[in-house]
Amino acid sequence: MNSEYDYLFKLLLIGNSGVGKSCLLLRFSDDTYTNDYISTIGVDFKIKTVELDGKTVKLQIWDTAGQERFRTITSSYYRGSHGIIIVYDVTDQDSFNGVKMWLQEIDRYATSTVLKLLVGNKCDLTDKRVVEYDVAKEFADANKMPFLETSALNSTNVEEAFLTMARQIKESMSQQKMEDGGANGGNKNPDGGNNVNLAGQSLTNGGSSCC
Amino acid sequence: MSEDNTEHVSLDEESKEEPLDLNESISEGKENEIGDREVEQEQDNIETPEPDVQEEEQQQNEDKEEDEFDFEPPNPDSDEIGGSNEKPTDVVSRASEELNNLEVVDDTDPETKLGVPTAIEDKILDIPEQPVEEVAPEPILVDVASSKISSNSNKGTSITKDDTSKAEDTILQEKLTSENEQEEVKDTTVPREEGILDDDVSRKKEDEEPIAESGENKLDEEEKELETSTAVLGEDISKTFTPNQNVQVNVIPPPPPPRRSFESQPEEKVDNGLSEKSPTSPALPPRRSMEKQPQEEDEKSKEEEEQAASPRLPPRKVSIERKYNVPPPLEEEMRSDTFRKNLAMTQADTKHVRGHGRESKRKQAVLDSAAEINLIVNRFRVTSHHIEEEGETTRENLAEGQNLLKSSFTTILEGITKISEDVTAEETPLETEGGKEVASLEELDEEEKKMANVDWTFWSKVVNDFPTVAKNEADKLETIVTEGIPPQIRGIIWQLISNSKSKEMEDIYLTLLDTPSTHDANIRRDLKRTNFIPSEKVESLFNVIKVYSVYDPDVGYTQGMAFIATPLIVNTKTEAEVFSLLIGLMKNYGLRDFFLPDMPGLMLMLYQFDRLLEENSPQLFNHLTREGIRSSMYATQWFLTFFAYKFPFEFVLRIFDIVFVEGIEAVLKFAVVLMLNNKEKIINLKFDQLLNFLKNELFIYYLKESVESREGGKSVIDKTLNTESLTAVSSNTQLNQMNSNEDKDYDVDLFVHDAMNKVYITPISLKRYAAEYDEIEQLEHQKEAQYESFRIKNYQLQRESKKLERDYGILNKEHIAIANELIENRLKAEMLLDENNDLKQNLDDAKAQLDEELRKRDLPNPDAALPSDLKQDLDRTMQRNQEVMEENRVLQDRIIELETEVEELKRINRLKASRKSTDRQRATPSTPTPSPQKEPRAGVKSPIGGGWSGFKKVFTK
Repeated sequence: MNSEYDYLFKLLLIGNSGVGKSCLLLRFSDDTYTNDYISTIGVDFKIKTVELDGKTVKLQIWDTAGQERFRTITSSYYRGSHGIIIVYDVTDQDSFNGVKMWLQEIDRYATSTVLKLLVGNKCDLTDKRVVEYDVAKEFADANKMPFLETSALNSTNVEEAFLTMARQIKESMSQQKMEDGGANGGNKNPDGGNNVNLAGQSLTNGGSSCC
Repeated sequence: MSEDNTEHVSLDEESKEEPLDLNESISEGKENEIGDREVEQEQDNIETPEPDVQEEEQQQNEDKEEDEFDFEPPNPDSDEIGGSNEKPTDVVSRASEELNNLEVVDDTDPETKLGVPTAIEDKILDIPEQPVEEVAPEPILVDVASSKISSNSNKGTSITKDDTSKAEDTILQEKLTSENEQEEVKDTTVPREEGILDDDVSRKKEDEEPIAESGENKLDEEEKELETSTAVLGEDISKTFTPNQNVQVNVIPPPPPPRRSFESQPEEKVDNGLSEKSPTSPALPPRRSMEKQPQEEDEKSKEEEEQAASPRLPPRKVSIERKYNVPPPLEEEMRSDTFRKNLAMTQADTKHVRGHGRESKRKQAVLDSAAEINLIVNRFRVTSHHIEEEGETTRENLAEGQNLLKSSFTTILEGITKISEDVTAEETPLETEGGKEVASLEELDEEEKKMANVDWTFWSKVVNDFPTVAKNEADKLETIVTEGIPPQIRGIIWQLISNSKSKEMEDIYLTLLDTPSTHDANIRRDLKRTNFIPSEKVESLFNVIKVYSVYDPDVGYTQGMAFIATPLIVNTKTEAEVFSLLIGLMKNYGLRDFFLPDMPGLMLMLYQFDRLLEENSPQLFNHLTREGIRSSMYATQWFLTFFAYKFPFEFVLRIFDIVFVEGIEAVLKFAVVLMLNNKEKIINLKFDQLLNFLKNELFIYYLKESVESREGGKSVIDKTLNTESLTAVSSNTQLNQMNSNEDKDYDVDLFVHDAMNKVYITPISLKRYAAEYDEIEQLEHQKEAQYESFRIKNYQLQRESKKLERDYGILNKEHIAIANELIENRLKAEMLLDENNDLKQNLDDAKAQLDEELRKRDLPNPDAALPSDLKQDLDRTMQRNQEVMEENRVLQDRIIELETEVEELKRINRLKASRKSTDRQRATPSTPTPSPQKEPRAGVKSPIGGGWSGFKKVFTK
């Protein structure tokens, strides 16, 4: 099994009920679309292997029930995830408003290093759109996550969304590796480090000026 | 016969006194076996006039004893003794006994009743024989006992103690005498206590009749079987009590003393094992007192007395050993607090029941015990509990609804019978067993065949008197429901069994129908995107679910409800009925817990499922655990939708049949059986394939093709299964279509049969799991709360630390500024110091100069003046030099003049000399004189040189 891929990333799809999480996943994993996809009960699961910069990456994607009360079941899937894709429906303001709540859920249940991606689905329904791209983009930027608009129906950006996520994870992983191999404790207290450096600089400056 | 009669009489009189001992001694297990007889006996007792309830109970106990000892000869003494010793078994045990009796009633064995006396009441007849036999052998003992009893009754508790002590003494004597006999009789396997008891009994029996022994042995065996076979309750009881011994003692007619000894032993056991269970009452009431607790105390006191009077250490040890004879798992169970709690609960139940009339008491008790092991009975009990809790009008409404259902059933039935009259005429009466007959009905199509096989009489019975059926014919009901409820009456049966139909509910439905719900949009969206629901039913479905969400705002709408409501809609006539059914499932069956925001019911069922799976196939369970598959990943949708999420509809209807009869817990059966049947496949799958398989392919096992191929040969199965699974994996949508379109290709009957027959689930074990889960859940909650508090704390600390960091930053900046300043200042200081030093130097110089000047001025030093004169000297010297040079030149010039003069002179001289010489030569040689002249000339020259040196000398000067 291990020889089949270089990386295994666990992704999680969250977002309000009916925003199209399952359709996104179905489009990505099987490249199909169905209009009458049954509402997810509990969790669902798909696997897709992709090539990324010459590496084989296996994506293990968990699709969750959007209704809030399934949280008892879905919350346990946050912790193991490398990346979490928050999906909203561009034709549904509530689902966009809910993104904030989902971010809180992530803060609460996921590890602090988890990577996030905001996806506005159903962008093919242009005449019904209520959430403007710029608004969402701004929101995403403020929360330091990439943002994409997708359509599971015509498969716009679907692959890109998942690949963006995967790439992000891969980068952060290699970064982490480097950090782990390199300076120790660099992550621990960056502010303190800066302060110390500053102090050192100022002192040495003083010294040099002295000379 | 005459003997028997007399014995009976004595029993009646004395029995009241003695029964307690019997009760105590009787184990539940025994009671169960004996139950049939006992029940009859009890009834007899009831009929016969009895002064006190206690007496009745005593009689019952006696009866039981008698039943047990059917083979033994009746001992009047024993009865009396029993009365005197009356030690009520724990209320629980009694209740359980009664229950058992009731259950067993039908089974009563005529064989056991050997010496039935005809004289006594008909009912009694069966049972009394035994007591008579027992009593008969030792009449003397009876007398003793009666006398004791009378004294006891007169004196009260204190007297009773005396009696007991006496009895103990007698017992000891008996024991001593009977030791030899006992040894002979002893059962090697039975622990010492039992052995002793057996010995006593056997001895008595031997005295009286050899048959008694065999009877006892049989009883013991039966008891053991019961202990092992009966549910946890039975086990508990057996552990706590050594019923056989007690019973034997009581039955064993010999003198009162032996009996007491026996009693004491059981008491000890009770203390050791059951101390927790048995309530201790502070005061020692008279033996005959109605309350059992006091009796227990009496027993204890007796025990104590006995111990004091004669060292009875061995029996105690024996009792301990006895404990260890119980299978270890049970022992462990006894140690667990939850188990004891459960036990206490059941005991409390039965106690409570006791307070009511005897009949209801017994019924309730039976129901309770049956409910421990039978889902149907459990379901029925819960339903009736719910109804009892309702108000008067609600109940009336429900009753009315029931009647309506009944009448509609009869009309349907009439219609059916008309249609299938020909068929039924040919068939033997009813019975689902009609499977054999089906062969003869081949000309009928499948549906008609099914119809023909329906046991309509039984269904009418179910419709018209469900309580009785549930209580007495649960097994039959289970079999018939396993076959599937006939589609024509399915809705009616569902409503009847769940007792849901009520005008009240229907009115509520109609009033709420127009109320908008906050969930409207969500419900609509979910219904719209679901192809599971027949399109013509979508609107009704929406209405029902919407009204429910309004009716029960705590639950509101949860995804998955549609799957529950759809089968209901398909099988009922009106939306209101569906609504009532839904309410019934929610409230009454506990489905509501599944749909509440935190889904406690679902979480519990997932836990129960895990445990059941682990119990049924540890291998499977471990494999899943190792692969990281949790039941919540695949079983959530099973339990929330009763398998409707992805399973074929025909499966679902049958599952609903079972659920309505047995409760939601029945879903576990299907879940477990599916897992077990697919075990081989599951064990060979890895995580990636596992989830897909578990979600989408489990039911392929019941595809008719695969079932047939399984029957045909195993290799074929695998192939078909594999291909099936492959196609299924390839696309979900395909699978969905398959589900919806190919219902008939599944062997649903096999599925239901497997579930019902391969997996056994008892309410009591589920309860235990629930208790476990509660504990775990509590721990989890605590952990979570802790985690949450830590999180908050952490957050606060983080904020604080950020603030501190900020402060630190500020301080640091300040520090830097200050440090810079410091450095600058230091530099300045340094520079100043330098400057200062310079200045100091200057100052010193200046000072020194000043001093010099001063000193110079004060004392003009010649040395000091010298240099200043030097120039002047030099000038003077130069001047002099100039002068000297001038002088020198002058002198040179003079020299030159002189030299020229000299030359002149010389020439003149020579001339003169030449002339003189010539003269002289002519006169005399006077030449030498010229030479000296020449020398002066040379001399002249030298004076010139001398002039230079002289100059030099002067210059140097």
